Amino acid sequence: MLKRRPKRRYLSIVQADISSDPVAAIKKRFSELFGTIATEKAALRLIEHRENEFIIRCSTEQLENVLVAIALTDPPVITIDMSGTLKQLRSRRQYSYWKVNQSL
Amino acid sequence: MLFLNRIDLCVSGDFDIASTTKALCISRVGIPFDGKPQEDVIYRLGRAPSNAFNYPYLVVSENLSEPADILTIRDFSKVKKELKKKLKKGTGLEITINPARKMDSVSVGRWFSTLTELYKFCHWSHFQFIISSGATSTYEMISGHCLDAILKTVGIEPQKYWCNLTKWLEQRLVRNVSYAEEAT
Repeated sequence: MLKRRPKRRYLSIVQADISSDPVAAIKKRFSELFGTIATEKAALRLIEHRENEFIIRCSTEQLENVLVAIALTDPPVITIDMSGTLKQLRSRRQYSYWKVNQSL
Repeated sequence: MLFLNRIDLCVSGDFDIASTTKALCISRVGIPFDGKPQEDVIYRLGRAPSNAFNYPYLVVSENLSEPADILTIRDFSKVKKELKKKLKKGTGLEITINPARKMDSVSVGRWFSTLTELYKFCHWSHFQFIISSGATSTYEMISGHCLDAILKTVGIEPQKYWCNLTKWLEQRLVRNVSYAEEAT
């Protein structure tokens, strides 16, 4: 059987509280909601962050569940964009409403 | 890409709500009326205006005995029996996502089963099921994609849900505008 690299999605998220780690909070909520096996399958990773804006990566298979976990995470986190490639996400970020309104 | 007319009928707070919601793929938003009219928003009023009100509005209440377009549900199990007797058909039953953030894992699980139960109840009893963010600040807002994901988790097809909500909203707003004209 051919081994293929699992497909991923890159999510751009913004968090109010800069001091806390949003990925840890999302993973915790995800694990509570969908279990530890699904959490491993989701393969949540922090790719980069600037001030309160973070880019995270997850598997496409668990994307819906990741979005649910993000919506129910405390402190609150907003998903502002998502893309299949990091390059496209970064290019869209440059012109996004959130980039313009950094003070938010 | 499919365009969905997503609606978040419960947002409040001191920020540029109209622009933020557009950035989060939400077409229409419901906010409390603070005296400063804004474009592209629907106002949530505590009671029907006695004078003409020239903006789209919905009457929202938490009290079962008050006539309203939307009834906000805090605890569905407590009010379930009374809902059928006291409410008119077509009333919107709203549940907000914001309180679920503070809940522990067991309570969130129960909250999800309440959502499913409320959706089925609305479907069979001819009420409009409404899910809103309940956001009070920018960071508490929920993007359109996350709302879709929550709906799918509950077992609701997002496209069908947004279509039904848009139709219901248009009917309600037309009714409310004509009411305002009659009152003058």
